[in-house]
Amino acid sequence: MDLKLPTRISLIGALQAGRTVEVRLLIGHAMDTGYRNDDQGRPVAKNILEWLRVSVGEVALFELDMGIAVAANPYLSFPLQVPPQASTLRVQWRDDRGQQGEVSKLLIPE
Amino acid sequence: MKHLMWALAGLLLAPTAQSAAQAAQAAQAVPAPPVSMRSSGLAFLPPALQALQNDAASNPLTLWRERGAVLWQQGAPSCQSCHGAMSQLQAAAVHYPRLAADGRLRNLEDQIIACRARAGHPNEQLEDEAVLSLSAALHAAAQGQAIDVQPKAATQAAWQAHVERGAQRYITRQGRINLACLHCHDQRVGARLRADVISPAHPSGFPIYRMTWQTVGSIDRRLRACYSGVQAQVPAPGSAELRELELYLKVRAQGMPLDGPSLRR
Amino acid sequence: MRNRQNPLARTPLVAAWCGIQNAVRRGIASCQRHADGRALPLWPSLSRRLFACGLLACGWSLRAQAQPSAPGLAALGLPTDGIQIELDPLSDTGNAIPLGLRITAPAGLRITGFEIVAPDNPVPRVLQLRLSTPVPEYRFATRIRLNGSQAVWVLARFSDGSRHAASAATVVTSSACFDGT
Repeated sequence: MDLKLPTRISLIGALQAGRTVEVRLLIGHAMDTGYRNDDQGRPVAKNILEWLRVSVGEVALFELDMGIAVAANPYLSFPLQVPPQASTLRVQWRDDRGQQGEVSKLLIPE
Repeated sequence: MKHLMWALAGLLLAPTAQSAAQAAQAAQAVPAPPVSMRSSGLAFLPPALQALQNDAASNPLTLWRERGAVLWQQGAPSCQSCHGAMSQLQAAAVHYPRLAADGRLRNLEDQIIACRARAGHPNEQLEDEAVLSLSAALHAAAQGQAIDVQPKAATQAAWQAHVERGAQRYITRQGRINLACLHCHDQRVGARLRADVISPAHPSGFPIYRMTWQTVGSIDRRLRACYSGVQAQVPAPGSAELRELELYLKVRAQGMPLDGPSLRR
Repeated sequence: MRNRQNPLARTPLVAAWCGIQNAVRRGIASCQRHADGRALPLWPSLSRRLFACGLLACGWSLRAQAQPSAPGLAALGLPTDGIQIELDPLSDTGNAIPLGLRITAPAGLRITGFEIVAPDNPVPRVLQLRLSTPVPEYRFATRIRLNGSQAVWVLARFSDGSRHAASAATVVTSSACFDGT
């Protein structure tokens, strides 16, 4: 687990080549809107994940633009067609401060 | 005078009519919670949150539990190098808060902070991600174990005094709203407070991911939130008053199984 | 929590505000006079009032066009078929509301992407997803934040450039006690 941006990628369904499984992506990010105050009354600065790209190996599945209305610790569920060979599910992310990174999970079909 | 009366009538009419109709329609769909004085807070959650609690793939607490498991093995020395595998500490969380050598009560988060300070992570706070992640992972390891707070023979009198002060706090009215803990959590269990349903306030589910906080918080924070709720002076994090109240709540819940970390509204 | 589903809902408030203003002005005017004893005028001149109203109207209409609004989305008149939205009609919190959607493209078309819009939020666009390979059917779920009770819209885009749009409403409630921590 990358402690800079803790993530959990879960696959729901049997990993058989050609089948469609459900990917459940949980990302540990506060998604601060900029509208909240801390307990001292000072505004908490806006800090959100703005963009995600999900790919299998080098093949992109989708790109996602997110705003402040995505709940804290974003949860995304989307379908994935299991590729025939072992490959890597990659999630590239970028936040509104220019930081970026990538988390990944090996997909090994049964 | 006539103008003022029309103005007031307008002010009163606008918000009430529309929202009343909507709320009445929506309120019929919510099932009543089980009312029992020995129920965990989990039983008072709506079905959607209970389902989320049981689905590790979408439960935000999974992130804290997994980070705690990683932190347990990180660093030199790591927690694991002294305490062994986390699964071996199954019975640790049930005994907190306990009296430390300096006569002060220490809960599990205090103990984590003290341990990590010795291991090269000084000046950590109760609500830090690392502390809460380790607390979440340790409480998860102890799930199902019965709360068991006991004094040691040598310090029994001091321990008893702490429990009594905690009990006294529990039954004392406070704040602008002038309520004691028992008015809600003993006398009105099952009543609704807007979206909340009042539970008996057993501390079996901590640490909690509270939807209003949008993050995980400790029992210390939740108790402070209660003081805030009755508009009382909120004690500083880590104060003796909060530890004594936690000790009393654990004595009151003695024997109940731990079921944290868990979600709350 | 604001509820702006009905634009006329504010009329009583506006009328109430005008009523209070009128009462206050009459009270002040009745206490003050010109040096020669004439009564002071109650309102600024007609031309100044018209100018002020004109400015307000311009500002209001400009503001309304900047963000997608519920009446604006409805007025687009887009077809609603092919979009199923799973949204609980009653939400315990505005901070994390589960939202599921399932889009089925019309025959012969494929889905190229979709957008989730919450018109009553300060920033109405919640998220936009762009598929790299268009597909005939897509399921998606997430948790969103809502400013208050409102209808949430899903706009789906298809391979021929056409769009469908559907909405589902939820009532957002909140827990009771003030939490200052």
